[in-house]
Amino acid sequence: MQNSLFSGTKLFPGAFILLLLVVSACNKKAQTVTPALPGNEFLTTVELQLTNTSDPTDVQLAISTQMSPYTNTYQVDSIYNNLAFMRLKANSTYSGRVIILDETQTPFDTVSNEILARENYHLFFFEPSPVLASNFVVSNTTTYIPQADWLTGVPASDTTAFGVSENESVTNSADSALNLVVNRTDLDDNIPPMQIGLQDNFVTGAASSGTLRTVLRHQPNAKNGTYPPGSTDLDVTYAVTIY
Amino acid sequence: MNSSKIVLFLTALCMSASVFAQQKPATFIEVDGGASLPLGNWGATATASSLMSIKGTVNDVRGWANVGAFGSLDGAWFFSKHFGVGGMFKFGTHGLKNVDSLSQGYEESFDVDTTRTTPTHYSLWSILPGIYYNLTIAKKLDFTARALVGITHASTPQIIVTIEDGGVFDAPIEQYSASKIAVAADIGAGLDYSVTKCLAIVLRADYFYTKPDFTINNAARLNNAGREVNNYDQPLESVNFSLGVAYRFGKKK
Repeated sequence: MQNSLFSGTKLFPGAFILLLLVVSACNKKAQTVTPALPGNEFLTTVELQLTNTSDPTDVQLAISTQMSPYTNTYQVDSIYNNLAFMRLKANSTYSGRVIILDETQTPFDTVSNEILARENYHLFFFEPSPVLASNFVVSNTTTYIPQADWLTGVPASDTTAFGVSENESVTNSADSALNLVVNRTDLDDNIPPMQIGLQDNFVTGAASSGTLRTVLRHQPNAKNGTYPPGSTDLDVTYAVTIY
Repeated sequence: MNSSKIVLFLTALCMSASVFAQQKPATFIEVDGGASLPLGNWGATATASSLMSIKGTVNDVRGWANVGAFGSLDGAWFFSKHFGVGGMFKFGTHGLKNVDSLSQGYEESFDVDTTRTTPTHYSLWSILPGIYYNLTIAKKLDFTARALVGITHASTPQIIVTIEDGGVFDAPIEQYSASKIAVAADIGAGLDYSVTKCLAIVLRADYFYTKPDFTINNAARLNNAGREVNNYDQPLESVNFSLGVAYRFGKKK
């Protein structure tokens, strides 16, 4: 019975080898890739609603939308900027609110409520342009966009309201700068709390004009107050006149 | 030494050992391998929606452990007709199951386009001394039971979740593997069928229990959302089924 299955000289070492194979076979990594969830909402319209804190009747509503005013349908490659402007009084403070809508829904879906619910990984940035160099401080508590991420090569044909170029710039002269500083006033639920930017203060200086670029960054497990992490959920530019 | 000489040597070993065995079951060593079915929260999973948290984190008590595999080496010396002392050395692993739900929980919590989840596995090394019981049922068939208490070195899986949104990959969410040594117990019973004087095929079922109370570290979690396990204080309990081969140092009386 030397060659029998149950031969003592083969069975016991064989069982030990089998044991090693069983254990080693389980030492592997599995990987699961989960695809995108269906039904994500569109961000069709971004409104900045500003109320003068000294004059509640002075309310500005600047609207940038991808909803065609002609067909009332969402246009993936077009932005309608004819209402994307604001006229602010000089040397004033406005309390600001960002309202984001999905106008493909009936009734409109207020996406900014969803952003508020997901405040822990969303952050707004506001870049006035031309920005006064002495005001331009990029930190985890300011709303400025790092210069490397500025719009600088936008074709002349791509403008915001009134044909104002969307290209951003910096200036050393207060006379040529847009005298506007935006500060976020709301805080999220992180530990420690970080700013969000759905609620803001817009502080104006002397009369001037320029643009205000508004960017919403989606920073899943990466929000740290700065601009770079994450991706951009929306990026719109408004024309600003301070008078 | 050729095969026939080895057989002769083993036969002589059996016969000589049997002189001292008298009425007691023979001393044995045994190699087993089998499947381990996790029980309780350790083997529980969840739906993606129950892991979704956009404000605050979810401290998940579920272990997501899949059916695992293990191998063991054990043996015993009998000091009476039925009872003996012995021990078992065991190594087993458990992968994770329903990783898709786990992954999707992060995806929904952070509202991202895709998540890619890569887990390793639980591993458990155990050294368990204890009491063995043997009862001969038939000429070639024995009932055996054991109650063992010892220690286990257990490790939790490392779970890496890569999140992508808008084509951008941010720093992954990483739950590091944690290890702990804890008291463990194993209670089981089985049937030994003798195929030669020295060898038996063994079929066993065991219940295994340990409760390591892991402290789990995570890579920087900057934002207060999604599943985040910092402590896992759930029992690692399982029912194990094994098939093995026992070598007896002495002829069965």
